[in-house]
Amino acid sequence: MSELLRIEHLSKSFGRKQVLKDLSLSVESGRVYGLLGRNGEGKTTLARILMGVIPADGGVITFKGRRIGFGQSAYKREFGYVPEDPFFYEDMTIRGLVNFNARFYPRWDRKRIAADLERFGLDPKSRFGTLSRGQKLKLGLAVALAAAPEFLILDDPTSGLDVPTRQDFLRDVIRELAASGTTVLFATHLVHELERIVERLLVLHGGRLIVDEDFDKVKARHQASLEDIFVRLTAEA
Amino acid sequence: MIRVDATSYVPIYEQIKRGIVRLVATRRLKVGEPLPSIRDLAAEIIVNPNTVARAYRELEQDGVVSTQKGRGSFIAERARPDAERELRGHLGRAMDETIAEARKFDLDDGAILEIFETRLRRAGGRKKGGRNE
Repeated sequence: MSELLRIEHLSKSFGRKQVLKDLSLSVESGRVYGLLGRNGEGKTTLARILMGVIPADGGVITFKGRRIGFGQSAYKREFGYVPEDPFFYEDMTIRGLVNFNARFYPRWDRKRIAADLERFGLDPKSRFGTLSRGQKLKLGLAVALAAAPEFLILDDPTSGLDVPTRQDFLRDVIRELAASGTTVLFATHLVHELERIVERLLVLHGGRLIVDEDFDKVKARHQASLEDIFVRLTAEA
Repeated sequence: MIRVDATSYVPIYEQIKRGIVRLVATRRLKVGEPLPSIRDLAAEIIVNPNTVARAYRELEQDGVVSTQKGRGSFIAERARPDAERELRGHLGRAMDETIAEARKFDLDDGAILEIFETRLRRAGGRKKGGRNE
């Protein structure tokens, strides 16, 4: 498999708190990476640095051999990002925000988003502010997928949702994986979601990746559920 | 049809393999019958499609499944005897453990058989080749 993304010696502090310390990672294309960490361990900070929303203090990130990060935008056409709270303007209609997003993505798939909106039961005339949290999330995913991303970052998208909605969301991600072989970085603190789809396990603790290993191997070694493994590893470290 | 316990330490691809072998051995999947597509099964049981693909690939290597390009995967001709053998082996090993446990308490063969027959009756009797009564 080929390397899609490489992170070398990434660091980031907020004031005196160092959130990421010398973090390095190689992401191969077509795999699902599960990024686990307790709240406040820097999962979102990493996602935001990757999306160029905030700058890193140090380190180098390359995507398909090109350096990326804060202040650059071209690469973002190939990234999909579903944050914990997908944000669009409250008064914008779904149709309006879909058309708005379409302009930024050369590979934007109109048919696909129309089909997804229908499947998700989202009326294009609804205003964003009137949607439930689950609907906002599905809209966020539909918008991210319509751009046909090579790399999809899911930043704790399912926290605070009920089980059926979380399962629906996972099914949609799975359909995407099966159809397009998209590379996924799935950050979460809810280990149950991950256990079913993760191929490579990353555990962020104390600003470092204390685990970067194939999930099968981690599981075979610990002979336990991911929840138990996670608790054990973050207690030891 | 196939259930997966993601929290089990048995790898998910292995659970999918066992599930299909069990369905073949118990004749709920017949020779020549198509398996669901990787995409459909993955979405149904909520697992990574690569995991389903791995299970299908290994089942193919074991001769349980045959895959035809563009047509999908089917239960192979020789799957049934293999599946039955595997199921018998699996049950045999479970029974070995039970016998070893019984020996710890110095139970003789008659006592073990008696317990086994009582449990079988309680589970609902079933005649050869038949369904649950």
